[in-house]
Formats: sequence, structure tokens, C-alpha cells
Amino acid sequence: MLIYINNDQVETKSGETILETARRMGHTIPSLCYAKGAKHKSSCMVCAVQNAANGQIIPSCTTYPTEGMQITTDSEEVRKVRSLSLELLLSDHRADCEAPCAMVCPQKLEIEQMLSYYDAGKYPEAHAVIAAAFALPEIGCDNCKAPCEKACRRGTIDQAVSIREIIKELAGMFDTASLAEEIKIHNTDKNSFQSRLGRFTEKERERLKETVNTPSRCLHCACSGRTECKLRLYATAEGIKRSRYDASSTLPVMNKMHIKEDLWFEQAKCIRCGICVYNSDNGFTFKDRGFGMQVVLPEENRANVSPKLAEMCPTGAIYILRSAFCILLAMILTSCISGSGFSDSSDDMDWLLFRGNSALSGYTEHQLPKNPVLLWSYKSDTRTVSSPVVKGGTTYWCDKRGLVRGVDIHGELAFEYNLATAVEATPMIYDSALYIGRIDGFMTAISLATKDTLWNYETMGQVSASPNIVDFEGQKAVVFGSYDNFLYCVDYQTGEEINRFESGYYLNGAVALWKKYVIFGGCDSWVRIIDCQTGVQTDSLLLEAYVPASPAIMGNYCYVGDYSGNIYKLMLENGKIIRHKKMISGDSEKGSFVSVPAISGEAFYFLSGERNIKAISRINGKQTWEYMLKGNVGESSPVVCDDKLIICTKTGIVSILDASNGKLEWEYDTGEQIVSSPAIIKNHFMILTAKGTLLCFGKK
Amino acid sequence: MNCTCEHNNKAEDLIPKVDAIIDRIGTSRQVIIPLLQALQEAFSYLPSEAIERVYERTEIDRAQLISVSTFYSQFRHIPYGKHLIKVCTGTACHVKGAGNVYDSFRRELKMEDGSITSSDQLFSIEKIACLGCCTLAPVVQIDEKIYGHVMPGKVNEVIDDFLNLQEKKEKEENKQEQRQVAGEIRLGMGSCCQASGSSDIYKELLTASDELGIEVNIKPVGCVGVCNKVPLIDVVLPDSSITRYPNVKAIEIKEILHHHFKPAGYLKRLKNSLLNHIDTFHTDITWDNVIWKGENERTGVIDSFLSGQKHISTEGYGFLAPLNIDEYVASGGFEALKAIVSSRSREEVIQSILSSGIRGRGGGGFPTGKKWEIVAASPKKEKYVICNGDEGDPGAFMDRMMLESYPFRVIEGMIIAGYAVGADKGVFYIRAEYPLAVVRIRTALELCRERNLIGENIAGSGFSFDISIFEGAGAFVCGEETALIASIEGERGFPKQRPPYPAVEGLNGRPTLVNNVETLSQIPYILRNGSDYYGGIGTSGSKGTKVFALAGKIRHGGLIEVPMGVTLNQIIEDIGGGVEGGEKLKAVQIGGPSGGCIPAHLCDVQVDFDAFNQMGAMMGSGGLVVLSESDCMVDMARYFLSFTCEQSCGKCTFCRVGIRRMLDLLDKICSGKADMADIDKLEELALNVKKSSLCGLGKTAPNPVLTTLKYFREEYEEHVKGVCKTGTCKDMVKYVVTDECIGCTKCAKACPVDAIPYTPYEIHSIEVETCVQCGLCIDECSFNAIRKVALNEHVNYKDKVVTTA
Repeated sequence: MLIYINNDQVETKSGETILETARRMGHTIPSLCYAKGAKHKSSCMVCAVQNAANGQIIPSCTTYPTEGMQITTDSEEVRKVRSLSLELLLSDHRADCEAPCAMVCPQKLEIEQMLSYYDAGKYPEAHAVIAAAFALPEIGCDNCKAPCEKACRRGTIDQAVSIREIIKELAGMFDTASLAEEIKIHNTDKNSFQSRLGRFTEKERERLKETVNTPSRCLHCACSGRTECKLRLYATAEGIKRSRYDASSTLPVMNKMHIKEDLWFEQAKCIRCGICVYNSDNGFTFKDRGFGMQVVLPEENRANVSPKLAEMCPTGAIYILRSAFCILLAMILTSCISGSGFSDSSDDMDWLLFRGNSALSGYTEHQLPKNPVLLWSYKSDTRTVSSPVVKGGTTYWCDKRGLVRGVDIHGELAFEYNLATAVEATPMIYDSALYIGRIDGFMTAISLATKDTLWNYETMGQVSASPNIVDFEGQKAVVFGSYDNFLYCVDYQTGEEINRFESGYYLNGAVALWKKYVIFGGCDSWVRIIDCQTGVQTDSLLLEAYVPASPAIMGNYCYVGDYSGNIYKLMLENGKIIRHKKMISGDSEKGSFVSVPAISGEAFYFLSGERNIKAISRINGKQTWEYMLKGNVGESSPVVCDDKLIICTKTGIVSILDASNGKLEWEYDTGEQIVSSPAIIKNHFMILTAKGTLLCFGKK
Repeated sequence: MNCTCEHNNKAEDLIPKVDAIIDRIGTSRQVIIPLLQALQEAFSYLPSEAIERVYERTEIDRAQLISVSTFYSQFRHIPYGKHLIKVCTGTACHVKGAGNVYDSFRRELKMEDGSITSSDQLFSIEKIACLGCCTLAPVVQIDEKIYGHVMPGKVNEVIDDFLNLQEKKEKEENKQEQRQVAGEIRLGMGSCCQASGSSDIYKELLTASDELGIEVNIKPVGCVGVCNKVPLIDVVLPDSSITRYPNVKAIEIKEILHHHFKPAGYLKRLKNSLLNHIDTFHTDITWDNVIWKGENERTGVIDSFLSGQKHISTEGYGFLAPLNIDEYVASGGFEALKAIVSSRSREEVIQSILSSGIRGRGGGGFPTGKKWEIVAASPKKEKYVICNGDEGDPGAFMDRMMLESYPFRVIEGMIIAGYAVGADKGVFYIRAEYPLAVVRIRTALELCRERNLIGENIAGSGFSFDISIFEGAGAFVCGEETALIASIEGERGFPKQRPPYPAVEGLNGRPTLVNNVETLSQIPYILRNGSDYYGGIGTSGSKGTKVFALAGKIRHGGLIEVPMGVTLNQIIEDIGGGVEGGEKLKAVQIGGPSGGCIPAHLCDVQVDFDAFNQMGAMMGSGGLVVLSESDCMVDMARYFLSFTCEQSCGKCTFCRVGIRRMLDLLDKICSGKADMADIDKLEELALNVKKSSLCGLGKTAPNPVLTTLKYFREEYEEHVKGVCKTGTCKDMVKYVVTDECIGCTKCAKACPVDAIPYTPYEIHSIEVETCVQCGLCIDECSFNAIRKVALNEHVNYKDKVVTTA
């Protein structure tokens, strides 16, 4: 077939695109997302040409010649499209071509290259870079006002890299620049197009401050792919100074991901042409769509990436860090696929505190094993009123005499620590330390790893409830109540008091956490909300009778029962109770509410009377079912596990009910009294009897 | 320990469930979308354990799964709350304040910034492109229940109502036509009708007729088109006389029944008449009594709404039960098909379609016959026909209505197409947001299979053709035929460079005919009545009829089918009854995000593919949104652009980045921070995006900007000067209280953000910094004392009230 390219008649070859035909004939057409022999789809539109026959702008890299085509590769209109597409790509490309420090150095010192060697511990090479710029390195920068330090991007995060100090330090190390000939100095190219990173956002500053910790603190802004970058090449050729569009990108800036060996990936430089996606098998892939579309490399796929992709990549997004520069391992930044914030009880094998979570909701998404069987039991033969807590499959509790035990998932004793004092409280585990309150008034922190006491904090009354942990403005604190009427908030690492709050009566139950507030009821019938950060009470509510058990919270709702059997629902907002409602009126004879209710999305479940458990719809407050247990109930509180409910009677019967209708699904008689609540982890649940026997149930 | 949710382990029962789903659906890469849909249906999101299992057991790898599951908006990677609130942000809903409704829900449910789930895990919320109930705007769907006309102030009522409903979960009664009957009652049961409560009416009809002892056929029919008058029931007496009741309320049912039908027993009759009297006198709601209204008052509007329409795609509207195949056959259905497969050659059929002059209804207006010819001409074996029902335009719901109400007609058209081009397989591509359409088509296909209308050797002719359904997963770009094919093949919906056209090399590399739902639904009519007859309808370049979804600021919105060639003014005035609330017509937005705005003075333009194209608009799929003087055209352009920006597949620079940068510029203009040069910059970019984009989405996305720039440039200039006359652009207006205020405190109580201090008997004030401009106070005020004024305008109500246009 014959077509016209720039008015020359050209014979086409089968399988050849317009771009290939034109290039064969000696016409130049720029292209970014095309690489010879590689799979590609048109994306960048830098290879645009015009078919004068119909005026259409077409991507030459994927269009095959058709009869009658008259291709123009270099008209006004075509150039406009090209330069606009480059401008658009550049507006979404947040990166520096050259490092700002080197750009401003009056001595043309390759500062960033010098710092690369410095950070890699290659001091002779670093010194050689200095020697290449200065005749007398030792006095090189003495009279300079250090524009490099003013230009330093690190300076916009916290403090600029002390470039002059480092130069002095290096100058002092060596007498002569012995390596000068062996180092290839990377000359800063000031004449080509310069992409500029622009200002960091607050979030980016935070992230970079935490993640970039090279010895010099240098961010290494200079792009490792800058000499081969086609985007820069064409931008220079088109005479683009900077994009006329305000830059904004959804990609994480300066996020350098180590692929493997000396292969690296930096997302913010990606133009999303996808050539790496089309040419890797289960390696790079696209994520999301529209402007937010990204090219990502899942961690698991890193091994599938070929170094050839670095050559195909039209920008410096995928690059080979030459061995001399291969020092950035210290600043491996995690890829952005995961991204959860603070969460410490997420592990499947953990049940870290009383009721399993800070809200004391007694709700877990773990499912109970089907038809569980007793896997093993461990007899300590010492009485306890503590509930078990679990960390990494090992169950911990403390007996009445103060011996803390840890029994692993196979039923073997794995941890022992003797407090040698009476204990009634359930411990809490956080960050591999165990926190436990004692009858003699101390709160003790024990390291699980070293079995050392980390700290002791003394109160003036017994501490009989489980502590909780609160997090505000980066500070984490253990919060607990004591019989001396005070609620304490102490630093979780040092045990130093942050603040305290005096309530009107002694504090018996565990406190429930809602954001940075704790909520607890007392024997003076008041429910109180305390801001842990300030130690100030933000709201309170007087109930009809005293409140022996802890409240339970789900979302913005708090459920709390009093001793006469009333149950209240409180709605919380900014530390205030904005509404409250009595959900259940107590029956004076059957009264006494000593266990904690369990809450799920639909309902809350509580023990009523001597041996009943009831489910109340959270939506309309109506009872959905009631079930009579085989024995009297006590302090042991129910736990909702997804769609099941597990509950122990005081007489030692463990029952599993269908949470939606209260039908009995399974039960087991331990034959011993139970006052503790169950602990539920993946595929297992733990029951601790008052006699100190730990039973582990699971799948056969 | 702040967070204990999310991370769960259900691996126990999860794995067997996942395995069962994989066994049912398959393990090839191509089935990824149906597979993920099934997983999501089972677990309500895609749990990571399930995904890991997919890697283990199927050919699908991590790269493909991430790529596909993040492309389609249907798929969720995090668990949602128990109930899902979908706020429609389609065009019609947008102009009626859907944004404020969305904000109100968030406020009411106390959702924190960045979270889409309420902290009690009860509700999650998302915006959805269009629920296709435009005449009931603003529309909100909670789980399966659709609420129409949701106002920001009524949000709490909606939530309460929904929660109450959950409580009841009434058991469905099923009383079908099994007894000796005294007549028939027809009730529209399209999605819109259901949204405005026709399911309740249906139930009420069943219970009331039972209670009154009246034996009557209650027949749910398809969409009746008169969406603004639904629920609408037709009472058909044995003498075939029809009495029509629009906007029926459940409470009126008994009365209507009683009026027309006599109960079976005498005693019951007496009792009923007594009770009915008592009811009538004792309930306020029936004061405005339906029966007493004159015939004309009741139905006059509907008559004018229906006059001027021509029903081809919607033939049999209002009496055809969607899934009654006998009825469809009785009204001439499948006649064309049977005649063709037994006695006409493929070439003859294509010739008829060619000479009828029909053009594709999907948007571009490519001659349908030509497309058929190309596919038929291919010597390759194994060809496909795809019915494109991925109607994603906000503001359009024609395809949904046709699939729901006239499934057999579309199927017939598709089989004929299959015969003509020599295909043996057909695929219905229906978007995921249309569950009812999927169910109806599925049932209709079953019924056809029973009658041997699809499958092997159709009607004994030797022609075999089978049809399957593919549910789209939520991506507007998949309306583009090559992207649609990519998605059936289990890829992201990236359009492909054409040529090769799908007609030559399409699904699985085979010649594939992709026709829009509406196009196919016109085919049986053409062949039954002859191409000459069909060619007589419409203009010289555009033949036949076009179905429009008429919505926006129109008095009588709904679904209409008009012959090509009528003018927009005729549609608005004669059918739609003029602009709502007596306002002046400003423009008509036609063709959704790919179309443009036609200004009022040009609305005498005929409905015609080429005429629209010349004006910079396009037929598109047929959304017709009427805009009044109180609509801001810059905001309109911005609205559509934010839609296309989100829906762009992201493959090419001009569409991915270009549209985003246009949107940035529009944001700048709408916030009053732009200068005049920005308007030119916007225009330059828009022209280049149009010129240099590769697929239909990118090529047409700038149309809303270009047409508004062409016809309403002065409005852009006003915005640059800091004035949005309509008060739509929130950054440019503030709310002020004028001295008409009597200090009644109603607004202070209504304000959801406490921006109005509670000052009884004093003129109120509004704190501009706190105000979120939700408009609740304006609705609440009985004295018209709250106004929107330009931000820089100084209002001193003590001296003089400054009013705005």
C-alpha cells in the first residue's frame, strides 16, 4: 500500500505502524510509551501525527496505515498537541531532574553525588568529588554563603543538610584526592528542561521526616534516570520551560521502592504509559482509574520484574541505581499499597485486654470454630478472678497470689513471673509489655521478653480492674482506676503520671475507651467521661443505682447497666453525652447487673436475672430473643463472635448461641466455677475457671 | 487498641465458600469479573483471604486482580456498614441539590472526614453516577429501598423510615390472578414507579381487595413513562373502559376499589360502604379526594404528556406485562422474527435495515445497517452480537426502562441481528446498577428458550443462536464498544485503538456486532412494518423515533418516545408542560457528559443527529435535562467534567490529565480566583482534548465545556469577576438574613451546623465561616428572609435590602 508521509510517497510494510514506517523513512517522531519490539498501547500522545486527508490527530505508534492516508509529522497543529501532552504529563510529574543544591553551587560541586558516596560510607570517593570541583578542598567553601543549604529540600522538612560541615569533615580525612581519576563526575545539566518538585505538603513532610534517615539526612532529590529520561529530552526539544498547568499529583512523592538487586521504582515520576505493565508477567500492574490511576508493583510481585523494564521506562520511574550509588538501602520506603494507621490488636492470635478491645464491646469478628472440642487444659491449681488475655497465641493471666502465667497455644507453660502480692485484676498486654493492677495499689508493667519489671506506679487503694490504653497526640498512656477514688493516666513506657482525676467514689470496673476519653461508672451511681489528655471530666450522668460493671461502647454509643438492672444507652459526641435513654428498666427483684453487655452491629446482649441472657435490638430497643442458661450467671460476660455468642455460667457451663435467634448450638460443662470472660482468637477460644484451670477449645 | 474491627478471620468457612464459587464460575482469566461479583455478593466485599484463595486456585494472578478490581467501581476492598446508602448524583439530582443531600446524610450519621461508614457500622454511604430515577430527583437508595425527593432536611426521616422498615420486613403476600374476576387493575412497576412507592400500592391493592372481598386482576406492567405521575394505576372494567389514577396514595386504594367494584357478598358490601364512609370522614388525607376530582383534572396532564409521542421502542406501554410472553406474541411480537428466519435471506434483512435509514442510538449515530453489513461480510466463523446496555450517563435511563419493560422486544431485535450477520452467540451487557433489568432479561430468556425462540434450530428454521448475560461492574467507559469487549474478556475497560473495528475483530478476536438496547428494540418494528414505513418517520438524516429521559426543571418529567424531527420546544412545552415553577427556560442539556447545552433561543432545533452535532451537542444516549434561569452553566460544565474525570479509564494523557486540568481551571473559575486568561486556557485545552483523545469518552468529554463557552461565555466572565448570579457556586456566595426576619428562630433550629445563633425576637444572623450552605434555613424560613448574595456584596439590611437576581 502507498501512503504519503510529509508529501513523500511511501510503500508500507505489513505489520508496521505509521511511526515505524516514518522512522524508517528518516522522519523524526518523538515517542514516550513506545519501545521497539515491546508490547505497548498508545497512551502518551507525544507521537501524534495528523492525517491531512481527514484532519484527524492520531497516535502514530499504534495506528496502522490505511489507504489514502496523508500523514503530516510536523505541522503547527501536531506540535501544539505534542507540547500540550508534554505539559500535561509534566503537571502530573513531581520530581526534580537535578538536585537544587548542585544547581546553585557557584563552584559546580556535585553535592548530591558527593553525598551519595558519603551516605554509602565511601569517603574516598566522596572526597574525590569535592577535589574535582576545588583545587584546595580544605578551604573550598570557607567564603561561600552556602546557597546549597538554602536550596536544600530537606530544609523545608526540618533542617537542611549540613553540606559545608560534611565537606569540611571529608576534607579533614584525606590529604590528596587519590581516587579522582576513577570517579565519573555526574555533571549537573543546567540547560535542559528542569522538572521541579515544588512544595511538600504537610503530610509529605511528616512522612519524609520519618522515613528518610540517610547518614547525611540528604533526600537525594536528583533523578537517577535524568540522563536517559525521554520526557526531559522532548520537553527540552519543545522548548518547554515549565508546565503552564498547576501541578498536582495523587502519587506519593519521593517514594523510592527497592524492587530487587539494583532495580528501583519511584512512582511519582511515572507517566502511567503502562509499558512496564504490558511487558511484565504478574509484575507491575495498574490500580484505580481516571486521574488517580497508578502503576503499582505489589510487594509479592517484585521478583517477577525484569531489569529490561528500566530501559523501556521513558522516565526515571524505574531505574537501575549504578553500583557506585547503590547506597540508598537505608531509605527503603514502603510501597503505598497497605496503609493502615495505628492498630495494635489486629493480630489474629491476640486478645490483648479484658473484653478484647478498648471499647470493651465484647465483640470480635473472629468466628468461633465449628463444633469445637477441648484441645487441652492446663491446671494451675491456684484460684484466680482474672480473665485471660492472649498475645501471639500465648494466654496470660494472674492468679490471686500474684503469679503471672503464660501458657502457649500447645498448652505448655511458656512464661512465669511472680509479683508476690495479691492480684484480682485482668492484665493488659500492649507493645510486648504486660500491665497489671495489684491489690496493694500498684500498677506494674512487666516486659514479656525479659520478664523484667519496667515500672511500678503506686496508688493509695487497690487496683482491681483491667487498665486500658489511650492514644492522644502521639502520646500513649495506660489509664486505670483505683480504690483511692482516682483515675490515673500514666505514660506507658515510663510509668510517669500524665494526669489524674478524682471521682467521688472508688473505681472498681475497667474503664472503656472512646477516642481520647474514658468512660466508667462508679459506686456513687455516676457515669463519668474523662478526657485523658487533660484529666478533666467532660460530662457525667447520674444513674438510678450504683454501677458495678464496666460500660461497653460501639461506635458513638455506650451501653451501661446499673445494679438495679437498668440498662442505658448513651450517645457520645466530643466527650459529651448528647442523648441518653433507658433501654431496659430493671426488675427490682431480679436486679443486679454485674457483667458487661456485649454489643454487635445489630443488638446488645446482656445477662438478666439469675440465668437468662437477652438480646435487644439496637435499632428499636425491642427484645429479639431470650435464652435460659443451664446455670446461674455471674460476672462472666458474653462475647459476640461475628454471628455467634459465647457465654459462661457461674456454674461452669460454656454455651455457644446463634446471636440472631438465641438458639443453642454447642455447650460444654467445665465442672468448675467461672467468673472470667472468654478470650477469642483465630480458630481457638480460651476459658479460665476460678480454680485456675485454662481450657483451650478449637477445631478437631 | 483503638481499632479492633476490620481484621477478622473467617477463613474457616470462607475457603469452602470461595471454592464453591470458583467451582461454579470457573478458573480462567476471562471470568474474573463474574467471579469477583459472586465473591462480593457472598461476602459483601472482597476479603483478602478470598482473594488469596483466588490466586491459589485460578489462572488469575495478583497483577490482573489488582488491575481489574480497582478499575470497576462496583468492587469493594473494605467491609461496609450493614446498610449501604447510595446518593444519586446524576444530572437531574445534581441540579436539585444532591450534593447537599449527601452532606446531610454524613452529618446526620456523624461520619468522620475520610470515612464512608458511620462509627456504629450501621451505614455506609457512597455517591452513585445515576440510579435512573431522574424524575424523582434527588434520589437516594438504601439497600434495596429507593427514596425520591429527598431533601437535606428530611434526611433523618428517611433514616428513621428505613430503620422502621427493617423492623417490619413484612411478609410478601402473593395473590395472583386465580379467581373469577370483575376487572383488571394495571400498575406500573418499573424502577421509578417502585421508587415512588408502587410496591406499597401493589401490596395495598392485594390486601385491600382481599379485605373488601373484591376479586380483581392485579397486573404489574412495565414502565408507564409518565414518571412524574406515578404511582399510576389504570382500572380496566369488563367493558374495557379505562379509568386512570395518577399519583395514587396507598390510603386511596380502598376508595378507588370501592368505587369501581362490587364485593362478592351482600353483607360485605354493606359493611364496606359503611366503613368506607367512616374512613373518608375521619382521615384528613383523603380530603383531597381522588374520586371527586373531575376526569380532566385527573388525567388531562397525562393526555398532553402522551400526545405528540410515538411508541416504537415502547410500543404497548402501559398494558404490556413485561414478562408475559403470550401477551407480547399477541401484540405482534416475534412475528417479524419468525417471518424472517423462515422466508427471508440475510441479505434481504440487512437491505431492509439499510434502507430504513436507522442510525445507532448509542451516541455516535453510525448507520446500523452499515455495521451489520460489515459484520456479515466477514468470512470468519463464530460471530457475536452484543447488546450494549451499559447505560452510564447520569440523567439517562431509557435502556434500563426498555430492558425492564420490554425485554422480549430487545431479545427479538437481537436474534434478528444475529440471523442477519450470521452470529451464533449473543451477549447482553447490562450495567450492575440495574438489578431488575438483569432479572427480567434472565427470566425472559428462559421463557424464550422454552418456546425455542433461542437456542438450537430456532422455530425449526435451522438457525441457532444463544444469548447470555454479562453484568457490567460499574465503569462508564465500558459503554464504548471496545472497552465493553475488554471488560467481557476480563480486562480493565481500556478502549482499543480502532481500526480494527469490533465489527471486524471484536470479542475474542471474532467479528462482533455491538448495538445499543434502543437500536435493537426498533428492529422488530422496522421488519414488521417495512422499512419504507419506518423511513417515513423522522427527518431526512434521522429516521424513526428517539426515546428521551426528560428530567430536570420540567413540570412533567418522564420517559418519552418522540418521532425524530420534533423540536426541543415541542418536547418541553407540549409534552413536558413547560419549565417547573414558572421559571424561564435557560438551556437544555442533551446527551449527558458527552453532550452539550443548547441555549433556549436555539431550542426550536429539530431532534436530529446532525443538527445536534452541528450545535456542539450530541444525541448521546438521550438524557434531556431541562435547565432554568436558576441553574449555573459553569457549575453544569464542572459537574459533567468531574464525572468524566472520574470515569476516564486513565490510559491516555489528554483524557486522564487533560480533563483533570480542565476541572482544576473550572474549580478556579467557580471559586472566583481565576482571571480572564484562564478562560482561554480552558478553551484551548478543551479543543485539544477533543481533538487528541482516542476514544469516544475523551473526544466528547469537553463538549459540556465547549458548548457552555460558546453560548454562555458571559457567565464564565461573570464568575471571573466574582459573581455567580444563580448562587450555585458556593465559594462565591454567602447567606444573609434580611430585615424581613421576625426572629422566629426556625432557621436557627434547622441549621445543622449551628451557624445561626439562637436569638429569639431579634433579626438573626448567619456566621459565614460556619455556614455550609445546605439551604435548610431558606427552606425553613416562612418570610423569605434568607438570601444568597455574592460574597463581596455588602448587605446592610438596616438601610436597604440588597436583592440578588
